[in-house]
Amino acid sequence: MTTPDEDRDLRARFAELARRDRGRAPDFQEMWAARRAARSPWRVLVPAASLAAAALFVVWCGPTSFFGIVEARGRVARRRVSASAGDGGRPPAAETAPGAAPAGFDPAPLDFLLDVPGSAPRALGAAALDSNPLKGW
Amino acid sequence: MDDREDARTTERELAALHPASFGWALACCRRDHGLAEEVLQDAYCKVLDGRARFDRRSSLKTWLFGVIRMTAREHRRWSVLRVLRGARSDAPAELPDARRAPDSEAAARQRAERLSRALARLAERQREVLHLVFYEDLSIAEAAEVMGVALGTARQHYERGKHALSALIREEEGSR
Repeated sequence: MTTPDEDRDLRARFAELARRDRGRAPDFQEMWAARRAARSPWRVLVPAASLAAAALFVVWCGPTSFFGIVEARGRVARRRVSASAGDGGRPPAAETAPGAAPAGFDPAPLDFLLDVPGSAPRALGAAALDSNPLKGW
Repeated sequence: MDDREDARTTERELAALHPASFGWALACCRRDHGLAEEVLQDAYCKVLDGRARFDRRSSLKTWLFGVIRMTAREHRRWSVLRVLRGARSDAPAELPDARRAPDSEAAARQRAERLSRALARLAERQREVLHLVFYEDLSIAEAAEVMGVALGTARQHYERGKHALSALIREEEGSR
């Protein structure tokens, strides 16, 4: 616990400090008028950095693929609209024409995996799993 | 029209509190004059932009002091950037009080400087509560509101802080 004298002494010291600070306080009107200029630089930096990141994303993806995605999304949206309009959700005729694959077309055939060079004669001579030479069938 | 009148009222009230607000900003910024100015300006911007809203649950003074305290904390978080940028501590030269005799002016200045040094060595919460009570003439309950702590906690910081500060001042006066 502090004594009342100590309390009075502390009050006097703080009052002295307050008097000194009041003499050094900046002008209120000056601060008030300059408040707009004193805004944090992050207010500009954050949106600018976001914009730069978005531009970098477009460049990195490639403008063609990026806008391709946008176009594809547009097609899906159109399809949804037409489905809700009652035509069974079929894509419009103009949509299937450019670049659409014909029915039965395999864009990535895997047959080449079976083509092992030099193994064809062995494959022909091998016993099939549904035959048994011992039993004669 | 009402908004404009409200803005003018707010401006008048803030102007009346400005010296006290600056003193509090100084206390929150470890008496760094440049930083205190920045913090106070930022706090005023928050009030104007509506980022800080006065809902009249407390007095304007305790609410504004709370805003200043939070703003000072935010600034302290960015203190690394501030150090890289080069800290600005351009306190204007203090003008002597013409009404006082030069020797009493010098003695008063020394007493205030000793108090500043002792305060700098005090724990943050203790420094805050002592500043709010002795410098700003707030009650301990109002100080607790500004600091965002319970009344009992503020009272404890106040008692311990007073004891520690008196000891530190004696130490400062002994080492002179």
